[in-house]
Amino acid sequence: MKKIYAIKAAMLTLLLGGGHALAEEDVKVGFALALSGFIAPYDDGPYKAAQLAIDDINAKGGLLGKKLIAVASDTKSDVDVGAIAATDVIGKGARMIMVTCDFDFGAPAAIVAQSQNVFAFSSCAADPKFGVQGIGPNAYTLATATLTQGSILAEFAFKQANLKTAYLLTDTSGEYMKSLCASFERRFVELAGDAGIVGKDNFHGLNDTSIAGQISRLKASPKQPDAVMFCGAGSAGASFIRQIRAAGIDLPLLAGESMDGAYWLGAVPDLSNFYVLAYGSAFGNDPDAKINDFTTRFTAKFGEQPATSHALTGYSVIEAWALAVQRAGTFDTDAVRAELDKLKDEPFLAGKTSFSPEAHINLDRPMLVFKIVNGKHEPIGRFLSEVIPELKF
Amino acid sequence: MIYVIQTLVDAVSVGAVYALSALGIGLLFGVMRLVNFAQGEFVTIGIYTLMLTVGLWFPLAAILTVFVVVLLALLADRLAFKPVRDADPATMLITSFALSYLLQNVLVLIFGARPIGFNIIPELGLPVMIGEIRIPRLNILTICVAAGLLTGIALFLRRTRIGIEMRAAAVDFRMARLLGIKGDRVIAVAFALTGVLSAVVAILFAAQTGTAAPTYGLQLALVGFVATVIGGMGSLVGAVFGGMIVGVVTVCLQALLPPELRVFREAFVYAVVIAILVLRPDGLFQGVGSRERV
Amino acid sequence: MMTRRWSTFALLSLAILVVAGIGWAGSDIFQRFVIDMLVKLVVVLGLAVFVGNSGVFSFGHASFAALGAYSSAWFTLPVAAKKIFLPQLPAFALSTQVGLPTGAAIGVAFASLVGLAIGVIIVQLSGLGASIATVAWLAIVTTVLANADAYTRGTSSLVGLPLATGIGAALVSALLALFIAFLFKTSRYGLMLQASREDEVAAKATGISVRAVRLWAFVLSAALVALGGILQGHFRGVLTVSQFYFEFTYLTLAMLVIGGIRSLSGAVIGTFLVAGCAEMLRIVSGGFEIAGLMVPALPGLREIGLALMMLIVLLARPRGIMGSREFTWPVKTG
Repeated sequence: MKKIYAIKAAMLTLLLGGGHALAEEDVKVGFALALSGFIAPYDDGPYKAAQLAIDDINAKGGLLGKKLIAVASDTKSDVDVGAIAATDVIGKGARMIMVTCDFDFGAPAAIVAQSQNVFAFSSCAADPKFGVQGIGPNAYTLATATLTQGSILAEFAFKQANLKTAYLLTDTSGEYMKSLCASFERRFVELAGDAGIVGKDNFHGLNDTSIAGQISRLKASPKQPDAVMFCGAGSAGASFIRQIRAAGIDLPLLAGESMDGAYWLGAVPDLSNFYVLAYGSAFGNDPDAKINDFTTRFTAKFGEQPATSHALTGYSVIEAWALAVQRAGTFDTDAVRAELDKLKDEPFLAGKTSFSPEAHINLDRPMLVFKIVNGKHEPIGRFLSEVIPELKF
Repeated sequence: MIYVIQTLVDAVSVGAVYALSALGIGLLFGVMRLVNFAQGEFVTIGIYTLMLTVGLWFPLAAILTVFVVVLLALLADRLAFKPVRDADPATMLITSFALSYLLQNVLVLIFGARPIGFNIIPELGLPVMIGEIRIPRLNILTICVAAGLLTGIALFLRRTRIGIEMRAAAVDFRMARLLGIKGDRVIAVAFALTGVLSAVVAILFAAQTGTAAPTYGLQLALVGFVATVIGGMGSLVGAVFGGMIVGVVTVCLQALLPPELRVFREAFVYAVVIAILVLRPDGLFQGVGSRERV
Repeated sequence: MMTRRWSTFALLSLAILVVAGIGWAGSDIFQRFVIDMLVKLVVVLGLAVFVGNSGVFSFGHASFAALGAYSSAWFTLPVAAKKIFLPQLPAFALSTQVGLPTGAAIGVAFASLVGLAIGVIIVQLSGLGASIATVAWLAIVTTVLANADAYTRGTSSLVGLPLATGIGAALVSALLALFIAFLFKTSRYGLMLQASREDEVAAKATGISVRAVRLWAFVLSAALVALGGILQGHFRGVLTVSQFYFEFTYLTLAMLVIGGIRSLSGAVIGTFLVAGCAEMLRIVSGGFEIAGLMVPALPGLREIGLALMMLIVLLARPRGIMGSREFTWPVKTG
């Protein structure tokens, strides 16, 4: 036994020693992401955008004079492989890792990073548990919290779009959708009173193939709402929006960033009267020129526009970490963390970004609202709710 | 009152899709005791075929879809299921799982996992109004198609030579073969039929959802599986009614449950399934050869 | 005879020990892979107790992994984390924190009790009816857990579980599971159950109470699968309801069937083969360099290769790699 231990210790020293020798010149940024499989679409844009951010930094002479090098390991859209991928890139000397843009898939990888005192950034996991309380002090997410997204949509609907009553349709198959509708409801009731919510219903995105029953209930509702808050995502979201419109319901629909992007619009050509939240425009028509510039460069480098604006959060992962490293003047995790926790209203691509020792997610960041008219995304503007939600788990 | 009738219409139309899906699974189960989970992927591949042929004249696209899915079903029989035909049903089941996993991942590799929206025969989504009751044309079509296919297959099984051979094989495969029935041919025809059924489900499903995604299969296969057993193993009518029951119970529970319990709907649906299994162990419509013989 | 039977146990234990030893000495990645594989082995051995001996397929055992994992987490989560994430837990659970062994005991006990309750219903049914009932049962448990927010946080994940599943815990659990599965298989009840698997009518005719022995096997197997679920939770540090659903079911059943449901050696071989292939394909699909030649990354290779491997094994050996044989010492198998 002792002998094996000695061999193991020797192997470790060798490995660590090797790692140090390399780290002298370049700095490695790790990516434990789904590069293939079922959740690869979540990570595709953020990963490419992060590569673009690394290129940008290297073009300016690197970070603290050192060149950044991306090391990636594919999680294969598998939770356990995610943790292995994190171990892999950390073993290769990564100083920080970016993990999958989804709490369930990213968390085990982030926990590995936390246990080895390496940073774990999520590009767009909008769950506040991705932070100090859930994973540990090294976990940060560049997403806008779902709590905030719901509040923004509620206030936008009530104040900007003059929609005074709402009907909630929640997909109960995922946390994001449930929590989005819950936070929308909380804020909408504050603004419009209890009578503001005309009705509520739910469906299950994985089990339901049709929402005929939900549509009939909505149609039979004694008081028709001004708008329907549609908390859905993915293929079920697209399919059910098609069914709602086919049933002749032309009410304004409101949706969160899970319905961002144009890939699903083929299911509902000429969709109109549809409001959707996003980090920015992936179509080159953002009110903010900086984002359009990003889209142009992204398109030039990868040959296609980002599918959704989640790409922006991937760029901002690198922005946030690099800024903190620069301010700290070192790559040391504790020193960089101290700087990260001091970030205040930084104008990153994903939007205004602040962190604090308690909140490693953004609660007070404005987001872009699109109106889809005849299948085209028209940006209306960036909005933030007046009441900033408190961190809640 | 209108809401009640409307809900019943909804229930029947959701049930009809499940019934069609169960018909395919029930057919193969009846003939060769195979619970084919990969049938979900047959449907999914049909949907992707429709997505690729969007823009073509619709009947042509539909024929192409039927062709692709039937070919796929025949290949699956030949390459995957034929070698395990004599193994126990469990091995066949796991084989179908593996095939389903393979096909899903091939789809992801080719098309990516992001759903793709496309629009076929949108006119079908528009409703016909009878008084104040709204019936989407698609649902009328689904119900008619389900009834038509069920009758067609029933006639096929009773009137044609190969159909009768198929029924014989369902009762006792080995004996049927000893009596000179070509087992391979019978099973290939059964697979081709499920291919046709899957393609039809794909067309109806695509018209309803307008989305292609690699994961659509599981739910359809699962419901088909459950429906086949509660309907009475080996009985086609049973499978169809089993599917209908699952759909109707789901929609009715959605309508009747109070909001705080609605999220638990699936638990109630499957509790009903267990209750049916316990109360009628041979299924609602006992099929030929469903009992284990001594 | 007895000694030859036990030689199977000794050989399999040795195999597990060797694998764990290599894992312990290997790199961090390899160690994670080995722990994960041993955890799966606990589940597969648990399945073997019921599925293997009775021949009745259960698709519902993932529910016991989930129930065990969550109920153990109610006690193993640090008190501070519990107050944030599960404030509505009963006071006695909220204020205590226990280690993994105690937590595991609680989880296994809870899952076994639930297993007993549903098992009584499931053993009333025969063959496929029972299998479908287990599918329905899994759907019920998943739905309830996904919406029992106060106890599981529902669709949101439960985080903060102590990372207590190391190579030691995984090894001890795998050996324990093997021992129990072996003891049961060679016991009177195990033999009665196997008799019912081969011919239910004949077994009944000889006076075997098929339902009773099935029920006990069901509960025992639920307990072992629960142990696997508990280990997985404390390995990942996160619990989600979806991690114990169809993928879990399909993967573990495939491991069992590929090895051969009638053989415990098969359960071990099947698990090692499938997990090993998956990891090998993962490494290969990441791209590598061989003799100066760059082999590019092949996304999807792992999944497609794994599916093909399973299909080929099933087609070549429909009764699994081991069939109904066991490894024995001396090498003669039978």
